[in-house]
Amino acid sequence: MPKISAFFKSFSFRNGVFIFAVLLATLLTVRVLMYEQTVAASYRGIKLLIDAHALEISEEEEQQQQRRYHAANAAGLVANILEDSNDRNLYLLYQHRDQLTGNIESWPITAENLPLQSEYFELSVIINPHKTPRTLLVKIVRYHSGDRLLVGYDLERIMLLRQTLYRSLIENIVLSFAISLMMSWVIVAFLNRHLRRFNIACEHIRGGDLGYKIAIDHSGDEFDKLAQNINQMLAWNKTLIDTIAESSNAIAHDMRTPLSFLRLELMAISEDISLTASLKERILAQIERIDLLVEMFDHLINISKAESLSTTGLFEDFDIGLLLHDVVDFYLPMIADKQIECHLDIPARPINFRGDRQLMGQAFFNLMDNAYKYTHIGGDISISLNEQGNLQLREDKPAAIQIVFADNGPGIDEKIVDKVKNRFFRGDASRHSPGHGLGLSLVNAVATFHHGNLRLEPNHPGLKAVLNFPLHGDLK
Amino acid sequence: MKILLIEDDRNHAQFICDGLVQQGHVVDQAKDGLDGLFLATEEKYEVMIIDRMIPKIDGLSIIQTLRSNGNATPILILSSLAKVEERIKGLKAGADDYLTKPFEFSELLARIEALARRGVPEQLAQTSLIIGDLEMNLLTREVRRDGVLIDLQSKEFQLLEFMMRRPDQVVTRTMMLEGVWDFHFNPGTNLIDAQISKLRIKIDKPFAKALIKTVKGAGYKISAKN
Repeated sequence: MPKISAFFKSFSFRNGVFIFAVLLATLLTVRVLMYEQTVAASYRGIKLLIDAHALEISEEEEQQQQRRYHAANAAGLVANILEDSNDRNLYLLYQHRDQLTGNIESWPITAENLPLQSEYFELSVIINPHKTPRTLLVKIVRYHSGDRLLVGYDLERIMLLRQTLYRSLIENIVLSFAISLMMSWVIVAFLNRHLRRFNIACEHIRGGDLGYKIAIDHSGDEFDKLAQNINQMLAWNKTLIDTIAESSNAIAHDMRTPLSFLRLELMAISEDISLTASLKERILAQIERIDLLVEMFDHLINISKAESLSTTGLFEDFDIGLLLHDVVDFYLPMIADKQIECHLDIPARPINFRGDRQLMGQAFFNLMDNAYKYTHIGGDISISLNEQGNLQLREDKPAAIQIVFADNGPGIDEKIVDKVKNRFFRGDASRHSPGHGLGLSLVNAVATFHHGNLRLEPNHPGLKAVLNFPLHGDLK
Repeated sequence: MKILLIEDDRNHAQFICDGLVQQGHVVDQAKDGLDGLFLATEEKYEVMIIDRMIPKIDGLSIIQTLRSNGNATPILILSSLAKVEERIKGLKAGADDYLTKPFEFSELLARIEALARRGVPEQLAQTSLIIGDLEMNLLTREVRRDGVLIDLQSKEFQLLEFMMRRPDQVVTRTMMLEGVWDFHFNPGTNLIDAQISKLRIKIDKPFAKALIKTVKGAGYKISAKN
């Protein structure tokens, strides 16, 4: 089902539907116009025919009036026309007083079916009692003498034409459907072929292959141009990243070596037996500051590494439950000293995860350290790992891992909950405790690096840090 | 022990050199890769300490050249590059250990000593490790002291094994984090102290003599000697 739903959401499908709709609308418009015009032309032809007969008879009637002829002349003309004409669809009826001449048995117009406005109208007429009603296009001419003439034309041919055109319209719709489906498939296939090149390139680059180039087929089309531009941009980015990496290596070298010397010197001085206790304490405090600086530097490097998303080459398979257990295990003696109740819910069976074990371990340490640091004496900490595979959150992501560190410490004010993930941000509660405001930013970066996320929720009281990860199948 | 130190930072190099000499080692110094490679090729050393980022020839290139020429002297890389991938690069190039700056001098000493002992056949093939009256059976994964069976958790067993494989040697906290937990970052070294305390309660507390000893400013060692 998710695959089908993903297909419906895809650009290819939507584009196909759009192309199909446009083509179908165009073809339908053309066909409907053709239909309407053909029918209208037929009507026009019939009307001309009706007019011609009406005019001929009217002229005869006029002469008859002027010469005071007997009305039989016009009626005779009607009879003659009917006799001479081989057109079986022509219907004429001339009424002089009570006498009717023509090929319709009775005068078909009554007060009910007489249209007031139109010159021509369609009328269902029973030609004689044994025949079925015919639909005629009719024109009525009234003379000063009180005589009247009905000229009608059977619309059977037009009906047939209409039916034929209608059938043809349906056939055309089916044909249009097939053609537009085929065309949209061809266009989508063409687009997909090109998009695949770009998607593959993106996956390579996300996977850390920054030197990857999009294949160019030298067709000179827009896709080729786009590929060339992206390749140039990637080359430029790679140069920048390499330069940054070289710079950070240089910075690391230039900072760590003097710090290392400084630390070694201070440590050596602190071991001098002639030093007073207070001086020694001050020196050791400075060493701690150096360690804090180095730790901060390491955290920054790790955050950059996680944010760069380009080191998946170091990914390995490991038991994430065991790693979490190992980290928690480090804190158990200290937790016991602080009389904190620790509730663990980590499955005993191995839970294989593919990722950067060192970064993940560092993230767990940071969360565990926060929970330990901010939980009061006698408080509670809960650590759980849930495999949500059986929940089937999404079928294309069959299993997920959720790790929760919950404490009942002071928690984080909702107003700053988003800010604590920023580098160097320190909330009021943490301002007076050791740290540098990088712990949660590292956890957040590590979660994102593994296609997961970090959510910080109130624990009423305390904080619940929730890490969500897809399983390794999604690490593309 | 005769040691070669290739390090371009004058102060740093001098400090390490002085410290090692004070410990009774003989140290040759090179300030760039070219001199370093020359000394490494011409002289015979028991351990080499090579900085990764040095002028003229990069530290990794020196190691690769030495290894491709069949030089098997244990090498410790001293580096400002702390990332795990840098460590992997160093070890793949042929180094035996990797220490990031800044470091404790005792850490450097412990690692150099551990490297120097690599030539000595290790107890790897053994089925049991013995330190005084403490015996670890590697097959049954049982630990007994003075014949008394000691119940250890998996990580406690691994930590004790790591120490017992290095009898009378200083084992630093970083070495334990790397060797037992495979953590190549510093989560706070006092965390290791808590683990050692747990181990001491089981290994030493019920008995008269303590085998796990604290080496001040360096780490721990397990020894039956007084």
